[in-house]
Amino acid sequence: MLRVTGLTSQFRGRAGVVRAIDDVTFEVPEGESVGIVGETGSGKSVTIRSVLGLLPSYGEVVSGSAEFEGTDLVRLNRARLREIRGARIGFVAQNPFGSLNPVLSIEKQFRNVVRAHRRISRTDLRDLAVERLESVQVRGPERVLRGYAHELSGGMAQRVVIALAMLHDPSLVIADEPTTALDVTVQRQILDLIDAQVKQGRRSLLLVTHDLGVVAQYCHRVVVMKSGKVVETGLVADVFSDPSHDYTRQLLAAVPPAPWADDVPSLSGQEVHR
Amino acid sequence: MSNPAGVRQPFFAPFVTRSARYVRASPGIVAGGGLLLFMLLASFLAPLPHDPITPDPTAVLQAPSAEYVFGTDANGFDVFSRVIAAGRSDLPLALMGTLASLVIGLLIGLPLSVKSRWSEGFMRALDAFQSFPLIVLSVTIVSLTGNDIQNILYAIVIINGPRFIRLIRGEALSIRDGRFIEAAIATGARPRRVVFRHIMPNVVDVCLVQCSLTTANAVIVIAALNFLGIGVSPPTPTWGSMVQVGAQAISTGQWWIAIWPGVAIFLAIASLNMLANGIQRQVEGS
Repeated sequence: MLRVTGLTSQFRGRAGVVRAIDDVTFEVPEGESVGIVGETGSGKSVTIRSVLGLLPSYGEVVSGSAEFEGTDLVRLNRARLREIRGARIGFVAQNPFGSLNPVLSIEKQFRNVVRAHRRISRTDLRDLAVERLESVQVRGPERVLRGYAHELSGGMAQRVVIALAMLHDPSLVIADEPTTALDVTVQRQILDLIDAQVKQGRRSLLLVTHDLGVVAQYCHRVVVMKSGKVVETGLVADVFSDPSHDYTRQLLAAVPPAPWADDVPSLSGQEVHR
Repeated sequence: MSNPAGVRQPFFAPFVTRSARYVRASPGIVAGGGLLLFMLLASFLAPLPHDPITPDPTAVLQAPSAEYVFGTDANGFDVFSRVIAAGRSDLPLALMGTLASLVIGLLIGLPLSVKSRWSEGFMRALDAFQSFPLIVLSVTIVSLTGNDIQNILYAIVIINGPRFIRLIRGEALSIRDGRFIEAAIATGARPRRVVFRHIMPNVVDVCLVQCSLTTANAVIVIAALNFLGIGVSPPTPTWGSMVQVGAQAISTGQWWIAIWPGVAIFLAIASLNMLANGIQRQVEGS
């Protein structure tokens, strides 16, 4: 599905050239979920931006390839890359408020995403948008469509972003820390939602996170990154039970134990609203 | 609308409170926009006491009176009628010039928001162009190309187009850094789509402010060109040409001929500046 081989990217700055990722190699097999973990600055985001061709103007992919369904995205011309982006690879960014346009109604943003790849009539668009918002459990989709990003809660906004990312039924979904900007109580709902959407559509998922628990629960495979390099990669069960690299061991040891999790009293008598 | 006491509110209550809040929030918009609207409506709809383009040779250089409210000029034109009628050409021309400058600013400024050697070069060329005294340049162009009214339009665009380009490009550059533009690119949108569908809606507010400032500037440019006798054929009233005619009479004591069109120019510019100020505050407040 997606095979990244020897991907190396660098940024040009005043202080010289900085190599952000170096010889990154991993694979996202068909229908599987792969998590990229690593600390801040380890090159997780640069990796996916290199794959999607979203590096800023001062960054460039120096060598390596990112083969998606047989085509190398790194060497693909821009017009062909545009046909793949959004349509066959969906992208969910970190901060939902950042990734929604502040001055366009949600309906207009649905329209923009559809129109990037095909024409659509006003009524068809509305039907499609309502259907997709319902599928990500947004209540009152008509009201949400008329509104703007700032009127939504964080969880709602990220649901909208997910619905937008899934609009063209992509075979691969790339999510860049999709829950970091969200309230802890909503994080799980959003992850469950992404997981459900991916499984329903038999899609593959590339999930960037720094939460090992998330990877353990939602991913088949894990890629551990540190300072721009992949230090360990493999099936989640293998890597977590028998880490071969020191850094992975340290990462795992750094996860706070949670024996108390079952003892946390829930707020009595309160229904949990999703 | 919550109404705990069960008291029936007058049906107009929401309207009144709403509009009152609006007025308080932006007195500039209401005052400036109202004055501008009044001037536009007056110039097209107000009944004129005398024909603005037919002089009365028997009433030359008359001081303001009940018959000639603003007096008459050396040719026997009624100043009051002409001050009002001049708004018919001056104001729409200023608005059209602004619109043309805005369109050019959007069409050139937005695509230039891509940082590249080419776009930087274009901006430096624009710097060089703007360092000329553009009013002189437009006087030259208009007088070389002939006394057409559309040449005044070109003059306004020459002066204000670069300002719009610069403003819109600067604004678009900062918006392009936003995550939602990256998200838009990640949806596979073409650069043209990104620029006009995703970035352009975000520059509307600064454009509105600049539009009212530009219209004010255009009123001045038009008046200046007309004062110099450019872009106007004599019987048609314009504020600039009226000031010019009146200026010659000031030394002999007939102050009213130049003052009234001057007041009209002042009011037009004051209203547009108030409007710009009001919009600016709303933009910053939101």
